[in-house]
Amino acid sequence: MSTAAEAPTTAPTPPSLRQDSKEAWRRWRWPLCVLAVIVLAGAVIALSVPAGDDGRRLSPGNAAPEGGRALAQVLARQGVDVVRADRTEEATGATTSGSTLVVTDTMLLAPEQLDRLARDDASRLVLIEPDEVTLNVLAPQVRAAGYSNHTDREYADCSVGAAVTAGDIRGGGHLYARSGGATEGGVAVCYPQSDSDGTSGVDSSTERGSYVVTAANGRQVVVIGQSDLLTNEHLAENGNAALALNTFGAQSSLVWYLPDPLEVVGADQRPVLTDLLPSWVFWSLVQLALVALLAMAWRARRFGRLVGEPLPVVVRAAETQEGRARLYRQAGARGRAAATLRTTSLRRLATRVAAPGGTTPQQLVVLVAAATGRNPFEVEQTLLGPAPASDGALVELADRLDALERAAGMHSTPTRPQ
Amino acid sequence: MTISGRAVVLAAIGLVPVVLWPGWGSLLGWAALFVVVVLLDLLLAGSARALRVHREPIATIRMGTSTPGSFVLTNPGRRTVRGSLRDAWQPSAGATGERHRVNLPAGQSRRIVTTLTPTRRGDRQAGDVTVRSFGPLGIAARQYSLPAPGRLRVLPPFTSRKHLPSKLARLRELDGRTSLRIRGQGTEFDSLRDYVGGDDVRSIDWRATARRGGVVVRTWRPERDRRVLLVLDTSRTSAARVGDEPRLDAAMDAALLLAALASRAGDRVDLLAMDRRVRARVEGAGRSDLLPQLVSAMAPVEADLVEADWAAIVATVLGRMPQRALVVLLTPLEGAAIEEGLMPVIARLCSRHRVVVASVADPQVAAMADGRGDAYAVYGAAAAGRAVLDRAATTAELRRMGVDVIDASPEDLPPQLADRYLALKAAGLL
Repeated sequence: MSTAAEAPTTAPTPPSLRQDSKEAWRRWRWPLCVLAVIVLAGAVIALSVPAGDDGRRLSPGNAAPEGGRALAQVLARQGVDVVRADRTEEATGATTSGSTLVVTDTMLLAPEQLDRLARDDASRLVLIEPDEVTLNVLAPQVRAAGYSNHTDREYADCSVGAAVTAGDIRGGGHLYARSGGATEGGVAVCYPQSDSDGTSGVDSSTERGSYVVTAANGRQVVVIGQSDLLTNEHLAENGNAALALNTFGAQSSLVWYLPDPLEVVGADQRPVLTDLLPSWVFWSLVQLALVALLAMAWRARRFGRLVGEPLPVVVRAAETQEGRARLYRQAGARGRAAATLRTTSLRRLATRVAAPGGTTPQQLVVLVAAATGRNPFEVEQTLLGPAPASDGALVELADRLDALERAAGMHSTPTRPQ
Repeated sequence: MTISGRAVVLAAIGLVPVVLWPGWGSLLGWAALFVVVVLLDLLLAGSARALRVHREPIATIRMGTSTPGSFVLTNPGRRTVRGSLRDAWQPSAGATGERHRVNLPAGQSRRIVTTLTPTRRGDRQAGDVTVRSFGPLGIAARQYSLPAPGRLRVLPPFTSRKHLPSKLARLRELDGRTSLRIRGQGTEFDSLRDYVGGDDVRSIDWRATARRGGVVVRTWRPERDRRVLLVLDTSRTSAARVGDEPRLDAAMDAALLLAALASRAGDRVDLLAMDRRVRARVEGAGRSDLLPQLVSAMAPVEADLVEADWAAIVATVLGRMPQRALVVLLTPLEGAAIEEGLMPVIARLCSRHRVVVASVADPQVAAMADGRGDAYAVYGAAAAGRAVLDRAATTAELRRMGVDVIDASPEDLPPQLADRYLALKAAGLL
């Protein structure tokens, strides 16, 4: 009878399945939202930031004023194969005997990298504003000779073809001169700057210029002291473009090397941890590993097989009631709960006031009101009134029933906490 | 085979030559030395496989007590067996100190004792006896598990026997009493004695008074040699746990107290444990060995997760009890199981026998019914109240059919059932 009465409160199968999926959605909603936002943001960032634009000065991919993208694009349009390199291996690997190697930011190069570049097979080497160390290795006939702030137009004043063709360019920048042991024929200094304006008595050994052409290690080396003329900003001025194109595009292949300050140099030569440790450490580690395996075998070996235990049922008898209580609460079955509480109270009150068998609830209300001296209407509201509208009202009803029983019996049941 | 901690230490000592002379030579050399030592130790170890185990029978004990479980280990081999052994038992057998050191010279025997303190009723099984026989260096051992089946029967604790003295005192009060209250048809004539003030004048035996010359009254004693049948329901509803034990165990406790009382009162007690088939049965036991027979029959019985077949139970009871008897059904008053199983067939039982239904109630339900304070507790109270009402309805229906119903917590059920028995006996209703 109880199972039949409870049947409507339990949900049939399809709604519970739907509730399952609803529950799953509620649980996974927030993680899914966060994941979607992350994916979306990642996609937007990946699409909005163009690849290869690294912002470095004179980078062939940099479209900023100090970048070198204009020059690289013009060269590519003229059929020159421009290859960008970030590592020494990439640069030396990309060059052939018919290619030009451009090196910027030479102060970032370690001695090992300079040696590698010196052994490279490129037939033309262009150094942008090299420092003394670089020059010593790659162009020993040239030395650094100060700096000039005069960025005025300069005349070529030399016999190098590219400079003659270009005519006037942006001057100043780093200046270079022949080093002590160099012959005049081996080093051509263009766009010279005299120490003092107007004086002609300048010695050939002190002749300084921002564009120097020489030969070293069996190839032509061009040293450019004024890198501004290569930038997107200044490339179009005067003869800058002509000089840059003639210098960079003399051959069909161009390797544009921007040294990476984070490049690990000579990783294969540096001693690793194993080289520094004495050899017995390795062998004792092997021995220790064997000992560990033995210890595992020692501890893992079972002392005979286990004996199975047939376990009894562990379901508590009150579990049915607890489950029903949760169902009531989940379904908000206040009417049913209140009816049950009232029925149990009525049963107890019937014994308290010694009601004869077959007493109707209405008659019992009169008896209880008489026994307790309470207002019959109030007693009827408590015992037979409408179902409570909220959980709070249900709790209150339970307390009112308790109070009524106490009043009727003058003493409560011993199990009830006061 | 197995190795000991000494083998690990031996391998670790190998670090010394490896550090002194690094290289494959010292590493492999030490490994070879290790293997040789281990093999030598194994070869010199006594054979564990050749050992013989003879497990001695263990006395049946009541739960809550300890007993020594012993076996005899014989070494018929040619070499001494040195090492350790494990006497495996089920965890609930409570074997403490199940590992023993063993040093057994060739041709000798030893008795090895493991103390058992079982924690559960029923038959507790022993597992294998596993022996590790180490070589003289104690580095490597031969390990072998010798099959040694054994069984320890653990009887129900019978905790309610503390109620027995008071109930027996009540029984003695019934004895030799004049029919001060009711003179039922079941009470039997006992003896004649002189009238003392306060005796019921209706019990004066006028014929004997005339013969004797003084006033003589008849005394009565409770009926004897009635039959009591205890029916344990071992179906799923008895499997549920109340407190720390299954309902079945509480029902057994109540059954034992009633059986002890009834056998002292001179009645004959039988037992039937059944769900869909007969699980245990005690019939025609003498007064002195009734309790031992009952507990050993109950010991291995566990509740099964099947529905009780009440038609079969009633048919079995009717088949075995041709004459009138007190039939005590120890079954939980679970609404559906009683409604659909017992109700349709109990009328047949009531027509021939006096029937008492004893049910183990869950004190937790009563505690839930008093829950107040917040919505959750009140819903729990309503759910428990629903259960209480259902049980009350079932009880009322059973009473209408003439069945006595006792529904009490595990602690209260045995004394209440005994009281009901005494009341029936005093009333001569058996």
